[in-house]
Amino acid sequence: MKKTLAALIVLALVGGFSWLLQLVYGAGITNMNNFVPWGLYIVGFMIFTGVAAGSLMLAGAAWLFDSLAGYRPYTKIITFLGVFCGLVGAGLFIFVDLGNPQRGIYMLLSPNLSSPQVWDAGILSLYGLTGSLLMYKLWMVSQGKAVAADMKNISRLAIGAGLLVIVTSFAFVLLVSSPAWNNPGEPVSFLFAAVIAALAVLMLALSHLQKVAYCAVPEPLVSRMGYVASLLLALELIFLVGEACIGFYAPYGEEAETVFWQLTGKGAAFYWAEILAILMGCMALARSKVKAGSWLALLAVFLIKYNLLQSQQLNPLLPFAGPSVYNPPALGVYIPSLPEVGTALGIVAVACIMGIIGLAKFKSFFAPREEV
Amino acid sequence: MYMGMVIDLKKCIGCHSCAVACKLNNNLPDGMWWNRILTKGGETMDTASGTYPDKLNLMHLPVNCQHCEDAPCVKACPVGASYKADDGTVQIDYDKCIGCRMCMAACPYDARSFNWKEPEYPVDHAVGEADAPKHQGHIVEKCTFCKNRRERGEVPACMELCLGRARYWGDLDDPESDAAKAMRGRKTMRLLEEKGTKPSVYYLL
Repeated sequence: MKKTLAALIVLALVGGFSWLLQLVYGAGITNMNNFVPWGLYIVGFMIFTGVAAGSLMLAGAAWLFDSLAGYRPYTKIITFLGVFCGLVGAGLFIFVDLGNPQRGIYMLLSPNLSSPQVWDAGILSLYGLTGSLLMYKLWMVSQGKAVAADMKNISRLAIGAGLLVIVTSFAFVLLVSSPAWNNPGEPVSFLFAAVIAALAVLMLALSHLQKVAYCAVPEPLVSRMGYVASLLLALELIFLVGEACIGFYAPYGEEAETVFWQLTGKGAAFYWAEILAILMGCMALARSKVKAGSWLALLAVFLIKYNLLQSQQLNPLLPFAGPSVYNPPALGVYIPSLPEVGTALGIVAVACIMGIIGLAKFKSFFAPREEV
Repeated sequence: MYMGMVIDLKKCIGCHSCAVACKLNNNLPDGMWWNRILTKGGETMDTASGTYPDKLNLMHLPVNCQHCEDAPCVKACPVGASYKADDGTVQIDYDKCIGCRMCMAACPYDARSFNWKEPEYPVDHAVGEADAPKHQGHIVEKCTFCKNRRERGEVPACMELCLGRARYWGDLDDPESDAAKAMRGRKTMRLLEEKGTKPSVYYLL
């Protein structure tokens, strides 16, 4: 664990240095540009938001449904790791992405309520609030001051809040500028990806806690999470295949352009890597290969978000040739720059460090006991 | 009042004078163009599509902010930095922009540019209009229909240098304005009209 922590601290420092470079030399040192205004940082934001949402739903479901009572002893860990560390990761990714984060106060002073970003801010705040309330109630239960029946309402709130991850897709889905995003299946895909990401992170965490004897985590509990993640990966695959079929059937128009760009065009390597990751993750988790399956699932979610962004952004609606800085036919694929990758890894490291130190420092609070 | 621009595609020769006039007058930083001339034809600028000698197609398409009536960028901006002015144009309050680039994702015309670093210029002094917008790093910018020039009673800079006199400017609600008169009897189109943005830039075919 010390070696892992040391490595994460080094990564966090690398991330800090990369971000410093961005502050000094400008966001131009990333590979984002006027055609790709959203890149790796938004991918990270989407994944961490999904982890927070999915963890809220899992923690809520454990207390709402007696069939999931076996997860109750671990809901403090799930809430801390998934919700709080997830929110820290999401918040940091947005912070480094904004050109002027110090002006974020205007979102409170003069919010434009028709903006999906304002809705996102509200939803993430709700996750923080719900997670805090949930943690408080869990503490009450652990102190014997509350029982399972007292957890029903907060559980419903947690599940409802988690489901609002669908609304975070609206920043993409509602854009008329982006026909590939502007489809009703995308919110559902966001929900699936959120739960997959949360389950993958939590499976890795719980398996590791079992391995280092932090707490006993029965293997069937983790495997069950894997089966659910496997099913959701399969559903994601159906969604992707459906999109591809729609593009092929009527092979004209803006949506079809994006589909062909992914299947056979410049984005093909990324697209087929996504399909492979989904397939392999699905099969591994179905066979209870938790560690490999979880990593593959996380890779699949990463590529789903990555391809979501680049496939539409690199296929502008006015695809005509222009001057060198505005020449759509010359657009290739989006590969984040080294400073971008460094900053992103640093943020992931910070979230992991927070998780490790938090669990270690407050073991008596987090370590599961038989919850009523 | 509904200010708009009309561009005659039969007169546009793709010289980029309007783009250069815009860049100079607004003292745009390196790498930023608010006005750009696209080539609807071949895969590179100023080339035609098709095979010689038949079916060759080449058209130049000046594209700037379309100042849409139903602007998706205004809806998308989380802090209200992008807003509709009283004359119907879409403007940006640079001091409010948080640089989230949501408006860039929302714009179907890729008309917006982000200052990816602190502005740098080819010469060590500002050029163009003294009252041109002051540029800031890490904010989004776009064509303003030369708000500063219009406030002085002048026309947008892109109009003044157009060699083919292809651009017309005026109040589209006023049938006697240059823009309205230019459209009379001509077939017109607006870019990506099916998106429902209702652009204020009309192209004459």
